[in-house]
Amino acid sequence: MESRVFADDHNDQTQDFGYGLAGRLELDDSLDDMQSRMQVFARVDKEDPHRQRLNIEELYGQWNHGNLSLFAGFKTINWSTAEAFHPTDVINSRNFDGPFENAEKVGELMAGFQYVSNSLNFTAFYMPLLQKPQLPTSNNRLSFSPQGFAVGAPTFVGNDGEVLKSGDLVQQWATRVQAVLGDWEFNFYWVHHFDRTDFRGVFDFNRGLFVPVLNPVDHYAFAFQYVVGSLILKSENVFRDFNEQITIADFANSIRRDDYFMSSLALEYLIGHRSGSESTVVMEFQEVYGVDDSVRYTINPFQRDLLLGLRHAYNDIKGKEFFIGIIGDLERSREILLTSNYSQRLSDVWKVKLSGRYIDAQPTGPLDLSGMRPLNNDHQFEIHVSRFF
Amino acid sequence: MNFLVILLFLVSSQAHADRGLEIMKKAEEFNNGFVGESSTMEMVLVNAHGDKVERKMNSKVQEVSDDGDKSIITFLWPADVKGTKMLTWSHKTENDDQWLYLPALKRVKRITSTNKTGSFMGSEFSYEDLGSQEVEKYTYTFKGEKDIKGRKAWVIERKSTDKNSGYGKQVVHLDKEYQNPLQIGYFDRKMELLKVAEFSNYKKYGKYWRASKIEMKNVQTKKKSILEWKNRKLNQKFSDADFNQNRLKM
Repeated sequence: MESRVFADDHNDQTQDFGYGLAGRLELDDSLDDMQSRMQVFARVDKEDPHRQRLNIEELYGQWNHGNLSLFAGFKTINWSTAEAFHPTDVINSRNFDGPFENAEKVGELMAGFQYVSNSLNFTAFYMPLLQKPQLPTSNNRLSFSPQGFAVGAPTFVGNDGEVLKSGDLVQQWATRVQAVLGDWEFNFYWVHHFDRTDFRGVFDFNRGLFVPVLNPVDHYAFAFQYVVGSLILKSENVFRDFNEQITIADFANSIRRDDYFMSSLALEYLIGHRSGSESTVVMEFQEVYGVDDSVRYTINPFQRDLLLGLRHAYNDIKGKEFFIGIIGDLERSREILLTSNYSQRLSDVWKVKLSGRYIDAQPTGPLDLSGMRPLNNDHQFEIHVSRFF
Repeated sequence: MNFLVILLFLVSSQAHADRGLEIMKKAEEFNNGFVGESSTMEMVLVNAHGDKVERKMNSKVQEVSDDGDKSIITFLWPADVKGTKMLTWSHKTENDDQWLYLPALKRVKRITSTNKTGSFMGSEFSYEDLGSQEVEKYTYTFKGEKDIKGRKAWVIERKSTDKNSGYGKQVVHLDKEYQNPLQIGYFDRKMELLKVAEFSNYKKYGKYWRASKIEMKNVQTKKKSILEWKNRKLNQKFSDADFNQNRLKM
């Protein structure tokens, strides 16, 4: 069961309150070297029918033989290392009706292989299916669209300007090389796909639409982690290589996609307490390089931002844990997001999670979609009560 | 005269240290060669009022000949942590390498192993108690011999060389036949007795003895945790790939 409430925006067109039911069904099976897994997520919201979801998160088979694995089906891939900023975690379509720094993922259809060894691992997979991102509708308080514009269907535009739709077959692939050398861990990635975490909004003034446009991109990325005592240093870096000038026939105009570099640096420091509990101090920074400031502001909600956070785990019978953090734009004043959550078991099968967010990011005008500004004043409180079977 | 007393004390201390180390090394050698081990672990947490809750895990251990062992603990119960896995590559002297697989996020997270005092699943066991017990990670003093519940044991005091250890010292009662502990007393940094672990229900697997039950009592809070092993198998042959971070997801 989940419920959320937003601070009143005095707008009858938006939905400030929601409550509904969500369920996740997971099935695992294995026989010798063969393994299979299914995970399906469903949500219905009594107040907002647009929040209804039925997503296949995982549905795949995997064959492991020695150091080699072959797999095929829908998978969820997580390449993030940090709490909030993860530029290299780009596979999978997302449901952005939630915390945008950690949006829910939808399974991606893929087939591939993985080779693992003590210090070197290699993964490659092919993703033949275009899968659209799930974007909040204009009546949703987490919508990125400006007031007065409905959210159009996500539009995929290829390098030659051809318009594709979700469900079309395309050439997409990803490779990853991982090296683990003692306290160091290095990752190198090359991904060619339509990135659902990075899209441009195009205004269709005739139809009053705000249309998310997605383009093919090559990611060349590098990430590392280094453990030194109680400290973990992490960094994720990606260069996004677009076909820079793409004509979008449907809108009778063109969109310029500049190549850019996105980098994040994170520090986590663990403090163990005599009581058995532990605290983790988190500091993360993310920056976008290589484009004009006006473009940079629109590339990502966090384009020169700093996160300071504290996670405390009581390590007790109830598994009590809380996190409090603040993300602030280091360049533009009054652009902050305060986030906190608390969770604990109510019993061995019941769990409650409370979370709150406060967003102060005053836009300069109705069409100002830069940084966190589309979400200005979308303060919210959520409660999730989960029953495990 | 004073010089002679000091000299005798130093020689005696060194002899006790050497004897303690020698016993622990022999115990380690005796326990080497098990290849791999798998088991199901059930833990009952009892609070001061006698209320009980249960935890369940699967465990796999791979012996590594020239370094610390590799292990994976898969959490089975309570339901909200089901599928969470902790992979540890332990080392003889350096900090262990650890990864945590979080099934809700499909994320393999590198974690530090320096939090020795952290409570394991809310129990009276800390990560230090259940982590690798490599001989090289302690200094030893032989304290004598003692009968415990009719069994003959060496009494050895050990101090962790890790500055993050939660204990000032541990007093190990090592069974002469099992070459494994019968009892360990854990003393806090103020050298006050904090916890006592009693190892029981020893079973023999080939030449190896393993305790099937550890009862950890916290003498300061009166809480206790009982850890029991079921379906234990030794001489299990795992591949290196089974202990790879990328295989945690399945």
